[in-house]
Amino acid sequence: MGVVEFEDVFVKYETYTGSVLALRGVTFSLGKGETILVMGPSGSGKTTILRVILGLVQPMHGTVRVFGMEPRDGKTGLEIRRRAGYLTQEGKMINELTVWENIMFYAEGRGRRVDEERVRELARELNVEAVLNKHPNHLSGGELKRAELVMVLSDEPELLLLDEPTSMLDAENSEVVIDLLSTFKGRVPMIVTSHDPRLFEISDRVLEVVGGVVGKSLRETAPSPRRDSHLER
Amino acid sequence: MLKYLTKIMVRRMSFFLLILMSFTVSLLIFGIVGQVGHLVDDNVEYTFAHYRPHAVYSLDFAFGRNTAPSAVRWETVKVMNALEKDLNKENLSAGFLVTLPVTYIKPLKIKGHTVYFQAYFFRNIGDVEEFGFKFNRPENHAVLLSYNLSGNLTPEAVSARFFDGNASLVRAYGIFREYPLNHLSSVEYVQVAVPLTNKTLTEYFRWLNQDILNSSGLRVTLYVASNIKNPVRDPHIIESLVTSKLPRSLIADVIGFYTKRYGKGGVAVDVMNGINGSRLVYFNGTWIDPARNEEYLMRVINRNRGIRSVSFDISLRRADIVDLVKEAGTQTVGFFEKYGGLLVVIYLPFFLLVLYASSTVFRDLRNDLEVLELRGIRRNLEVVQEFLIFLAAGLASAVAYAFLSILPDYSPSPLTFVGVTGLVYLTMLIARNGSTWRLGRGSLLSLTALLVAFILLGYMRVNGLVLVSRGYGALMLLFSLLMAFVPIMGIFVGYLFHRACSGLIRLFEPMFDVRYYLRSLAGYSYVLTFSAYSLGIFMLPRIASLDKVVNAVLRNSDYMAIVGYNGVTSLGLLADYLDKLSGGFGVMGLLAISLIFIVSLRKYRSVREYSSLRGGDLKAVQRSFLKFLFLKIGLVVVLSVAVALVLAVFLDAYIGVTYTSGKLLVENGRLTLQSLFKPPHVLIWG
Repeated sequence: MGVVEFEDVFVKYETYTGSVLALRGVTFSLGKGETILVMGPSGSGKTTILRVILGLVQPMHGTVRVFGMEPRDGKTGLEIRRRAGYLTQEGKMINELTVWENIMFYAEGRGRRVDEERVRELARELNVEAVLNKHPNHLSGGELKRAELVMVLSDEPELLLLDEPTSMLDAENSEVVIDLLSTFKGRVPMIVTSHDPRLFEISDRVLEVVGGVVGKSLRETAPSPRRDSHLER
Repeated sequence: MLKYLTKIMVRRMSFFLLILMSFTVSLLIFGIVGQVGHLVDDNVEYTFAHYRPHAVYSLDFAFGRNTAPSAVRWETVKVMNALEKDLNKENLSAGFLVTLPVTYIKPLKIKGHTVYFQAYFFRNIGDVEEFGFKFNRPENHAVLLSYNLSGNLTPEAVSARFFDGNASLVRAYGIFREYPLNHLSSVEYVQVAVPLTNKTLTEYFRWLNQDILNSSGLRVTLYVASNIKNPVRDPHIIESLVTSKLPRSLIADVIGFYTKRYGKGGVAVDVMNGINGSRLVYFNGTWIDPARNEEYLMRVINRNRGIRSVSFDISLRRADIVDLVKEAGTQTVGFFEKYGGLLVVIYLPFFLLVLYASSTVFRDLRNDLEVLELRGIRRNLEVVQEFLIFLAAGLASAVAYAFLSILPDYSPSPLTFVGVTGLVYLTMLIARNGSTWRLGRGSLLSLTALLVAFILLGYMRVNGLVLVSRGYGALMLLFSLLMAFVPIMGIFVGYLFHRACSGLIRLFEPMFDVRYYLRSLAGYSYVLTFSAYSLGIFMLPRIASLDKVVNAVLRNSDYMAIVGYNGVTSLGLLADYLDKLSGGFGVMGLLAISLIFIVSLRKYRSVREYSSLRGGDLKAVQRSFLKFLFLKIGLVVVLSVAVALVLAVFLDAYIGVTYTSGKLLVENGRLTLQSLFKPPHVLIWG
């Protein structure tokens, strides 16, 4: 049994102009230690897949199981979100707290003990140690993204859901992030959404989503070795 | 966790704004309640100290036939002294006047005039003063209380004729104090107060003719003026004192007097109590109800032959103090009832800021929760944070309450605290839940129509009374609806004002690009509204003269005719309140303008710094800054004038529908309006 299992999942959003089918019959599963890269154009339903996994969006049809639970009600959804680490696309932290306080609050709120040394180590690796005492609204987009990643990774999640982890980052910092994520590969199951082809390197499979349709149009691609991709560039 | 939640809250500007505005709104409302209460208390104290008489009782005593004047004097003086002693114990001052009700049987013929002469006998001149008559104090002289004579006949001549040339008169003033004077119309009369001496009584008896007195038996009326020394603000306490406790005490005193005089078993006192409508006979320590125990009463009287039977009636003639204190309380309530809608308009900028701060706090809270939910953090944190927000706003109200409670004269009641905190909470709840509420076009048009109808009717001085008299009964429904909507219309004026401002700017759209002005209004909406409203209220007493209206209303008021003094009517309270408050509002308006100035200056500095780095035109930046600043201030000035005018028109309409008065009469089967009072318009030039 996979960590995440989607079977014929349909998701519909209500908008002012009518309803939109964001996912149409998506089926896939994420095994233990596996990394899936979800690719596709904007609005194709990549983020929706992550939100369905977290129980923030309910499918209108199909079955979703995460850690063996269906994220249908608030309680199981909360439990899944507590066990998973979710990196948001736009970088969501509480502006009134410093980055450090956000990290502490995040861990305490999830009922975990904070390993302060581990936090500093991650911050050092992601080049954000200097901003730990700053408020999130005083950070650049890239700094915020990496600070949030420190927060998500420091809590030892059982599942990583990373929404566009290299967006808003320059080439150097993108490499730093990809390097760091590669250290989690095999240990923690990951679903990564991105347009960034460099993330192929850390993925076991690539799902392509177009117009919310996976299933038939799903293409499984074998990853290319990371060192090779470096050489190619 | 709580540490971080508290940190999040206290680092939010909107949270501080909410606390500040909760404090300010509470302080202002507590202030107004305290101030109105203080003014009304002043009035109550004045009434207790200067108004006479507070209550008047009449006690009718039946004397036997052939009673000598000296005996009448002796008995009445004894009764008066006994009553006075007891009333003094009750912390009351008392005055007594004695009169003979048969006076009008025999008018005086003098110089071809028929003059009715009424004498009120007093023990000492202070008795007359306790009834509220004022005069230059004569010792043992007669006081002319009231008269109506035609031609060259003088009261002195009438009095001299009556008392055989022995009476010199001083004239009393303060004619509104009319008890116990008889109301006589279309006859000539003289009413005087004279000392109660054997001589004056003898002369009076002589004139009235002993036969008249003997034929029906002599009855004497003793008027008792009782004046309460200490102010009592609860009308129920005074009412019970005047209608229950005092009469019981007076009855007990009279019975005490008779039993002392004739012995416990020597007299049966028949007491007719006109105040509660009872009749009881007191004999030998027992009260007997003659209606229920007539036989028993007859047996008692027959068994005790030779006992004296006396009767006296007691009635309460007037109890002005009860009316006056009730009226004072009514004024306080009336103030908030009549001007509730207007007060909402006045306080609108503050409530807007409470609304704005609360909606920002709750919006931030929702954002926090979204973040927390993504992270799988417990949702009950929402309850903790909301509790913290409401607790802080409540504490701000409590601090305002405590602040005003230090001032003894203005301290509001705990009930007011509950009410004001409730109002703040209600505003916060509206902000929390009502961010999606929108007034539809239909509701907006209906409310506009109601408001226009209200203003037109008020301006034309038309109210329910006028409508009925003119036979427009059907319109009464609309009028009742308008009156019920007054407080809502108060809020609506503010809402309409917001809409009207942007509508006004859009009118200029065909002439030039108005987007900049609309952005100015939207971006600084709350500060602009706050400063414009504050300055508008500052301007209100300068374009509207409430004193003019208050004076006209007071001249027309029955209440004023009784009391003779009053800074206190609900309208007078509003005039005082606006006068005292307008300066403070002016300061707040200027503070808000300085805030706009500071914000503009900060923006200017950053733009100048940016431009100088990139070699931009600094003069153009300066011009842009000045334009920005003057536009904002110009907008505030225009809006302030608009607010002042809207408030003045609304106030004028309020006064129109509230104070227009008259008397409805049925003439030839039709309702007509008599002695219509139309209050003047409030605008100083109107």
